[in-house]
Amino acid sequence: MSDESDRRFRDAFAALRREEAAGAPPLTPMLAARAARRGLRPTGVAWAGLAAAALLVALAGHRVMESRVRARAAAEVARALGPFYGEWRSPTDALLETPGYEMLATIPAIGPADSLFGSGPTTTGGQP
Amino acid sequence: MDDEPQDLQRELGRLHADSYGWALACCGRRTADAREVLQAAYLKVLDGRARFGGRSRFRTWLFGVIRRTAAEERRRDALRRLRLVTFGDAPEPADPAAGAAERLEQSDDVRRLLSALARLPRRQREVLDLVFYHEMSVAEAADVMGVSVGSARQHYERGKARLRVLLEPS
Repeated sequence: MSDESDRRFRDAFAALRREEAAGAPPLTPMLAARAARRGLRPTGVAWAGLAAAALLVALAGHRVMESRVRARAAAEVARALGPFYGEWRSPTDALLETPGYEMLATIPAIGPADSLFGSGPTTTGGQP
Repeated sequence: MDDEPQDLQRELGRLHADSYGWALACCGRRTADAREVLQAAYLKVLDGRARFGGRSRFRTWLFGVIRRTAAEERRRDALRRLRLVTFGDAPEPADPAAGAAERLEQSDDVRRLLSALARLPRRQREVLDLVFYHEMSVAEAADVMGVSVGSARQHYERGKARLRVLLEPS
């Protein structure tokens, strides 16, 4: 029984094999087409390169965004605190305002308009 | 060393018809899928992504590569379908008329065999295909399928019993 059914199976599969073998595509164009398609597809190394580049771009983008957020936050803090710092004066600042403080704080200039003695401009290192 | 790809190509050429038959079996007899799978498997072999270690016959090893490639394609296809369904663009169901022209050319016996095989579980179908179509031993079939010989034998016996029932004239 088993041998008989085995023989029947073999015959049926052999018929299937004959029919399918006739429809097998030729090998050479198959390999050529596949190779051409593969040429368009990135290889493993290219994929790794693309992934690394994408990671770098993402990191750079993250850095830029982070620095922008920080700068914006710092500007907001400065804006919030700015008037306070501008208006605030130390209570001991008045002690520094001694007589002649303004003269000490400015740089003297030599010339007719600003001359203390009303003399004209003098030349340095020249003949009288 | 330079002759290696040439030798491989020659060997692939020698086994090409058999490999195509096996690719068809792995792809539910869909010719377009079988060609795609076979191309992918050949490229793996020629690229060196699949290397023959000499632990079995070349044909047994090549059939294993084809089987794995077909399984990868099935997984990829299932994912593609899942993604399409998720995004609301469900794929159209397989056209039952597809391959009708090929079926017309098939003899009655072959048609009956294919219809019976389609009703068997994958493993049973594979082991029967390897044994009766490719004339391998059950041990070789087990090697191709990546299962133990005992498991392959079990699939073989169950598959044969089921196929016998399915092919019985009604």
